[in-house]
Amino acid sequence: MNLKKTGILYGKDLNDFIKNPGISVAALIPVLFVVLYRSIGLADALGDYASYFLLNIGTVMSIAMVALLLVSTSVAEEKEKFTLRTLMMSNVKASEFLLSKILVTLTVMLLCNALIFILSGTELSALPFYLVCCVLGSASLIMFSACIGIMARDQMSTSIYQIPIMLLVMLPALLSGFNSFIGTLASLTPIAAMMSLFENFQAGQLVSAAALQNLAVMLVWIAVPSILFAWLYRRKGIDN
Amino acid sequence: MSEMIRLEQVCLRFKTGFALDGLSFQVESGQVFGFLGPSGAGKTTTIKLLTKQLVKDSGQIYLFGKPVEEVSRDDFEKIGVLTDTNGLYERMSIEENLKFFARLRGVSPERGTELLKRMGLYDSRKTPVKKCSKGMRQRVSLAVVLLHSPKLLFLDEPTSGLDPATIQEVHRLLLEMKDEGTTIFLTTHNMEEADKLCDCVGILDQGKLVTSGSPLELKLRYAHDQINIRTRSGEMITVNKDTAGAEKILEIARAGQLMTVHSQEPNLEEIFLMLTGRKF
Repeated sequence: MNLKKTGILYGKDLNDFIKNPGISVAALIPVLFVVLYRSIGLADALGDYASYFLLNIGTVMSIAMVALLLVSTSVAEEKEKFTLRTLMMSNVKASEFLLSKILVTLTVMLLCNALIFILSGTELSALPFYLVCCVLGSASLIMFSACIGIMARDQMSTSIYQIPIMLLVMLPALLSGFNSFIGTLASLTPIAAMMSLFENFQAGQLVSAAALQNLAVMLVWIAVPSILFAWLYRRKGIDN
Repeated sequence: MSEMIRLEQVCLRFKTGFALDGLSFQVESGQVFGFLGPSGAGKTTTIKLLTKQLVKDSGQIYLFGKPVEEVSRDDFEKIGVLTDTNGLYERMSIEENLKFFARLRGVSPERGTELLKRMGLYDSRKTPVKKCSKGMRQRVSLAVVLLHSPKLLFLDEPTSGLDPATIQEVHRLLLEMKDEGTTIFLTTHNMEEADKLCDCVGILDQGKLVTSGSPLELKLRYAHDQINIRTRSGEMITVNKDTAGAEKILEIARAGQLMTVHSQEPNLEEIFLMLTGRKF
């Protein structure tokens, strides 16, 4: 892998993200949601619970949307407009192409999540560990997104694959408080496990059975799409 | 001259049938090789096989003297490919596209500026690609492919959609590249283009090479052995290239009626029609 080429692709992809309102606005929605909550005073009504609520809902939305959306939509667009073919003919390797997309996704997601963290009013000293949790919690979705990028022929067809996965990981995490069954189900999703691990950290219980379980859930979620990606890539290649 | 490309009995079958059926030919280093044939003849498929976008079913393909499977990433740095599926970044301007691909290829941005000027795109360099016409996009794509001065250039219908002045400029550029030693593999429908640029042409039909040679060789090989004579009265007379024909020409000349004498050589399109019974 040529890191210089990956860096050049990264610059292009980041620029393209900024110039593409369809994607950049979607990435900002969770941040705007938290700003809205704060500005109209809804957060005040929640009292002490406000920080926890805003951080939770903002993070779940941000990871589910950004991590799942960016790589797949971007790969599908490059296929649809034949720029992927031009890149391959310019001696760019599939690994360089995908790594750049993943790095852009991480950059955007971490920036949005840092803003959400600050806006939520959570204690700033916890920010570095929160961002580490975000990387762990989003890795599986980024890999799923890469799988969708391989499978989808164009941008339209990416949503067929994105929506079920988004609902699968987002809904249980958002509705976990409603009953114990959804709560148990949510604890098995990567985003809920990630938020739970962050709570373990805040409670000073990072070395505990609960924290290990959360970590294990996230690692299993990372392994499944990684295996799927390896299989799909061998079978179809990036530019099928 | 060393060998740049060699195909031996290459076959490729799609669901609809044979795309290439025992295709064999060779291209020497520094040559401009024209691959002619109607749509669906297998021209683009051949380029895709040579650039590893497709994998053959059988036969052998050699590039730079080695089997195509062993062609390395460094070898690929010496190749430029322009096909009908070359895309550009539409949200970027023409100049931004050129700069991006120049960085990717490790060449100076000045090379991009030079090509923009040659392609007549310099004044519109700030135009976003999504606002460009088909002809402009084709010129930008060509500039992208030429950025790193490739040693081997694959061009699939490079002048399709271009205006006559730009076609002239592209031809000049390609001939310059040829003079610098670039091997050019060109597919085209344009017979005049093939005649003007190519050292050697291969005519492809239904995945098979029908004939090959220099344009002149082919014209002589398939010449009609006839001569057209125009008399002063405007009459057109066709005679065979034999003693009787020569006597007829002499007779008209002696009568002071000879205006013009032209031997009849077919053009490449007529040769194709003659060999396949089909039009381009």
